[in-house]
Amino acid sequence: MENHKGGYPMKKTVFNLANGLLLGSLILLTNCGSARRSEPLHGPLTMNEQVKRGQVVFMENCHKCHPGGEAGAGPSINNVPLTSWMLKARVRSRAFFFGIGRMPSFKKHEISREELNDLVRYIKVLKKHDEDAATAAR
Amino acid sequence: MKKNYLKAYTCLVLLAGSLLLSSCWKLRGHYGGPKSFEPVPRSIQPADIALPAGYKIEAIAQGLNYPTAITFDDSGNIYVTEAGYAYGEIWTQARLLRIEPDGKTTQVAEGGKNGPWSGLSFYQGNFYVSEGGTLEKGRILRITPNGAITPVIQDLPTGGDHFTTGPVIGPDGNIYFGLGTYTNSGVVGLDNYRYGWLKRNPQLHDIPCRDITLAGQNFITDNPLTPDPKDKATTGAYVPFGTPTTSGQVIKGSLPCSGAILRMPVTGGNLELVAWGLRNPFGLAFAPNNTLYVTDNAYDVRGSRPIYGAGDVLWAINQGPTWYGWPDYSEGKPLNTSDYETNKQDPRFVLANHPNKPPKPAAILGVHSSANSLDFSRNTAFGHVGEAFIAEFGDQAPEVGRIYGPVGYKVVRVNTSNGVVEDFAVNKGRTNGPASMHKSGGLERPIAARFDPKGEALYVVDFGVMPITEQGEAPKQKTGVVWKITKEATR
Ligand code: HEC
Repeated sequence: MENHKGGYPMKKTVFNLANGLLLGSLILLTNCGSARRSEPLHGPLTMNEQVKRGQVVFMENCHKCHPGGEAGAGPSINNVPLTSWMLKARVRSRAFFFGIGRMPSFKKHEISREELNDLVRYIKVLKKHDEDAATAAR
Repeated sequence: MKKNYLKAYTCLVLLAGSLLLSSCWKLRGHYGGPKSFEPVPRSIQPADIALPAGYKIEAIAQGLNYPTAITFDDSGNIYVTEAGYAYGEIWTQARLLRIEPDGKTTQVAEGGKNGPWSGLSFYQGNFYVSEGGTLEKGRILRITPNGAITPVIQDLPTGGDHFTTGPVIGPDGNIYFGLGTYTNSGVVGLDNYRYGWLKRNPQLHDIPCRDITLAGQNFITDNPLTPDPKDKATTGAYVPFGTPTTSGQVIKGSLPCSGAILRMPVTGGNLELVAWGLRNPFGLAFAPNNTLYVTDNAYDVRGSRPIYGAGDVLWAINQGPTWYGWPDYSEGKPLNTSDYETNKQDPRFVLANHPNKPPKPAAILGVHSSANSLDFSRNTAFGHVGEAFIAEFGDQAPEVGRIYGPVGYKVVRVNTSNGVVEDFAVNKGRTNGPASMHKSGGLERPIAARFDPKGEALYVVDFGVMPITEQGEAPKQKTGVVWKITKEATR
């Protein structure tokens, strides 16, 4: 970390941001919300055209391991605090550390830049759907 | 240099984030042990199941013994099959039952020791049942209303990991049915020994529908068929256990074959190939536009050629027999990429060339969800006309691969035009999972979803309680249920 002494304010910011996230994750340990968002539990999702496109991208590429954003072959993502930037990094590059990264990476020919934007919108809207409270299900 | 440092640190944070959040989920191990098939009490609480606004669910029959399929006669009476065989290797009585209005059952017919009876249809006064073929190979049976059984076809090459499935009668008056493969991904191995059938039938192997040429990949395993514990076996694809293959070797195609949909007249006779390159085509249904759809249970992380992260698929079946990709593709994508690798070894192609480029799926469902029987809504009174309703049996993890959370155990609806999958009937709770895991009174293992002839009610066959114990699957007898879903506020 001494390496960073002097200069690189930009990188420092990112660095601190990363530290913050690390801490954020630690705090979340104690209070991890439910990842469930689906229609029977929370009512239908209101979607604009972009979100609808993002949903189709999700279904083609992500749903099989994160069904509806819940845990499955992969962990749940609806209840994980991730910025658009981190989401995109997750999709584009494989978590290679300690050789435990199991999630595939998706290159531009698989998910284009526009599709990735739509996908991130969808994931965010789905995540927020939590707050609509359970309307439908009783 | 510093840039790399930063990048590495970011990755570390990303990963640490994932790891630390592990209280949100945990890799699921075995549960519900020790292994036993004895009946257990099952609470039925429709209020524990969530449905979209306006729908309601009720249980119309309980205490069934491994029920698998449902159909209706011309007067609207309800019939179910009881499998007669379940995972974990238990044989019981295969039966065809009528469900009376009070929920009691009347036996119509009973089968021999060759279950599971996996699928059921009614057509022009008779029932058609697919018999899995654990001990005497697969069959399609015709059963009259007074219980007389005649095989329409027999000696179907199933009864390994997967069974003869599905019979539905098409708009052309033919019976369409599925034949599951013997193996996970083409190679007989120790997983098949553990399942029981390799010991019973060491000569079995998958059969291609058309001639194929092998790449000559072989797999070395222990040999459990000989007494010497140090003995090894070398096995290729499409050959018996312990048989090596060579590059360029041609395996002759024939009918009937493995991993296929076939059709024939209801009276029997001329057998035709409809689709091949499937793995476990469990549920078959014709959409309102007369396209045939099939659910295909995808690869597991097991055996000599384990495949990671393969999603179950809903296929729209093309005319003019198409190859759908087994054993070298999943969801229309080639397996020889890091996406499907396990730490054991990367999957490589076992075929030297491929009959055609596999089509794109109509929808991709959860990895290990076990997408089983399905039906299409046809009535605006129920809603979602044209959508597929699929019963998801639920995962058999960790036998089939590790998971972060239970997959399946619900009914989903699928828009086949864009592949969007939505929950339709699912247990309430902080996480998904079978009722017995939540200690609730909801769904266990939905295996079939079918609309009544008027299309007003969706019936869901729930196989019953089946935990995956240290010693394998432990399906509990007499815990099966039939659920009925209707729309409350119709007209
Ligand atoms: C084949 C299975 C698979 C597919 C497909 C998949 N993922 Fe993942 N995902 C995983 C696994 C496994 C992890 C856990 C970390 C790892 O192994 O990389 C993960 C982790 C994640 C995380 C991090 C969660 C956390 O706790 O920090 C996000 C976000 C994510 N995936 C989003 C996606 C998106 C978006 C897609 C579609 C473009 C997708 N995944 C497709 C398996 C998958």
